Amino acid sequence: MGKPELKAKLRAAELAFSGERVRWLLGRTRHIAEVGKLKPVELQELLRSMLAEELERGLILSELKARGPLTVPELSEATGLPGKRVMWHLICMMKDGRVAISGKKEDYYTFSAA
Amino acid sequence: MSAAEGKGTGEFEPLIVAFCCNWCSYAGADLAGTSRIEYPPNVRIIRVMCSGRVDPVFVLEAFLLGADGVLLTGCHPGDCHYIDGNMKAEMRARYIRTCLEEVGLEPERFRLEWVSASEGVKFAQLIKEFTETIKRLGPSPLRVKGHGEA
Repeated sequence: MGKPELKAKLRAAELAFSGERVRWLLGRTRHIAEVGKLKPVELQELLRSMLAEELERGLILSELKARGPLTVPELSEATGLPGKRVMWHLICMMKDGRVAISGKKEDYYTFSAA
Repeated sequence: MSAAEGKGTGEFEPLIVAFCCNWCSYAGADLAGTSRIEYPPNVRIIRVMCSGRVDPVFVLEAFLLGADGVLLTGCHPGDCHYIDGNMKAEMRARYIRTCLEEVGLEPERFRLEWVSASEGVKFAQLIKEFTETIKRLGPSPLRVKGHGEA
């Protein structure tokens, strides 16, 4: 992995750790473990999958902040993620109010960071 | 670290950032110093009031700024000045390791250890061991040119 790619991923991780979703789970993990609602293995898996998702979302957000309104294919090319996954992340982030549709470019909607 | 510190040896000199809690680990590091126990000069100590104060973002930022390794030290479980700050740190450490794996950095570059105020020898030993570990892993891909280079 190249230095710029690693830097982008670490910046995305910083965004993830500054976000509400990871911070909420971080604050509740001890309670979840203590009451035994999840087995340690399940908790670890939840943690891993959520961090992976938030890292991808952080990458998308970084691209949107750096390069302005972008379409799904553009984001897919910039992040290396499949278009369907980018679309899914964008919908989730729209629900959270982190991104918004800002216009149209040819047949595609453009998204920007809210 | 200045380039001069690694000069002449030709060996990679890691740059390690250590977050030490005010009440135990920093006092342990101080004891190591006042007892004149030798340990590698690769570590840069940042004093924090509690290991629980260390946000995962601090650790990631240290790596982004070119640190080869990050060490977090706190009071032994049950000894925390703020009751359970070190337990919070332990939980965060788990997140940090998972995150480093996901990002593609070796999780061994980050370590959490308990060092009390009376454990100067343990602190020195820990720094020696961690420096060796980082030397084995090699420089961080994000290392800033000129930091500790021969």
